[in-house]
Amino acid sequence: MIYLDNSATTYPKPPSVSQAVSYAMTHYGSPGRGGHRLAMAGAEAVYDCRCQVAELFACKPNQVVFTANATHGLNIAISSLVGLGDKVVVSGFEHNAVMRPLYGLKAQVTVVGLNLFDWDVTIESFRAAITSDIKAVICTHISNVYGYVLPIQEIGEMCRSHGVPFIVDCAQSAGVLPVSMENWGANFVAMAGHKGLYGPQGTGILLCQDGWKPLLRGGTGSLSKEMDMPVFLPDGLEPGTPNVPGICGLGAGISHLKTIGFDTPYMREEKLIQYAIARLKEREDITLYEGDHQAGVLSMTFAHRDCEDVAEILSREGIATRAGFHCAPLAHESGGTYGTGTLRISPGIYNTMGDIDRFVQALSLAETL
Amino acid sequence: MMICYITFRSITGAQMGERLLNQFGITHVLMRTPAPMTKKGCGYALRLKSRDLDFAVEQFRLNQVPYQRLFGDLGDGIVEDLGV
Repeated sequence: MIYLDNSATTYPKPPSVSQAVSYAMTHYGSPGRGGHRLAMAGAEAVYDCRCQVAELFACKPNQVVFTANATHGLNIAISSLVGLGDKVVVSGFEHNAVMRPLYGLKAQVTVVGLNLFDWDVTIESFRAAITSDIKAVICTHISNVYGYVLPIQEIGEMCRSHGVPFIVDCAQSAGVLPVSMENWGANFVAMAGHKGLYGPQGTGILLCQDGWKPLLRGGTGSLSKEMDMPVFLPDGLEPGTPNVPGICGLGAGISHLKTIGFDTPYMREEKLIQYAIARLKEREDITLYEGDHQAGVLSMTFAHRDCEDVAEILSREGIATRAGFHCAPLAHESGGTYGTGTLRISPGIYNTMGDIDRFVQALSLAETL
Repeated sequence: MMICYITFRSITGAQMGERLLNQFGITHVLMRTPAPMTKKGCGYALRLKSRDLDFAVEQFRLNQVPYQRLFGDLGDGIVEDLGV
């Protein structure tokens, strides 16, 4: 199998990840609940991972909240800042993990920055839309559909100057590009643990400043006699038994990135994406969505084939890609592919130029079948 | 007084404190907070020798470790609240 769907979840994981998961399942109890050896060992392992994350993203350990995925983190962030009918500004490339919670809140959503790969227009449209009555600005760091890297630093500065809270969706960028809640002036940064950080599925991280509110309520192992949720982190946002095996696997994934170098994934993915573009550019029947400010993802459409058809043929050839709307219809609307969807490839650290060659070769086959 | 306790609302706070004590080679035990030291239910505490208490608290303050209260063990199950 040639796996080119790393934006959905990275595969394979480094062997150390499954080893860490297995070790946790056989050596650790429930952390932060009891005081016995197994419970304390579990707590130690979770805290080790919390510290790794804090070091990687330049924040304090207690600002690191473990979540089930980026969607979970975004729901916490959005429900903390946005009330029923509130005004919100988002980019034109948001995932349903942002749009559906806003829809559920009946938020008045202003969508800006609709021009793919165009920072000038994006920055100007955010500048025009951000006013002091906006309850939150929400922006993805990298579009999961097109790999478009948005100007987060600039948007963060605009938010800061108007005193408007800022939420960044780093589902696609964590582990690929530098992420800094402090430098961006963000209130919340949500990310997946199972994508660029190479942790197990079912893991995520939310970096938090003040202003959070609990999404779930329950036992935290702290202040048990009080019925209100703790007002401190991470307890206030981590009720219930945590996913210890997943968190340990996530720690192993981050350790692996540290070993190979944190800039390695971006450099490798960039090289492979550029190689794919070079190989496919001459194909008149394929439209490539590429430009400046792109990372990790290449989307394409076909003149004579539906994307799902092509993905199915590729799958039969042993090549995993992702076709359709990628849970981001807004992005497809902005990028002009709302009617067709796209076929997306997203290489990871284990892919090679040979994998891209095989993909290109199989695409030729798809055209002839 | 031989033994003191520094209590924390959260295990994460206690672990932040523990790592700091480790850095300075201060002997301690991370444990569940004994019931007489907590009115609001479960928490965690660092147990250490009283001679190390002042230094530990100073370091916690310098490094923004969110501890809760200080207690002294007078023996026979009697604890003294030393405040914050």
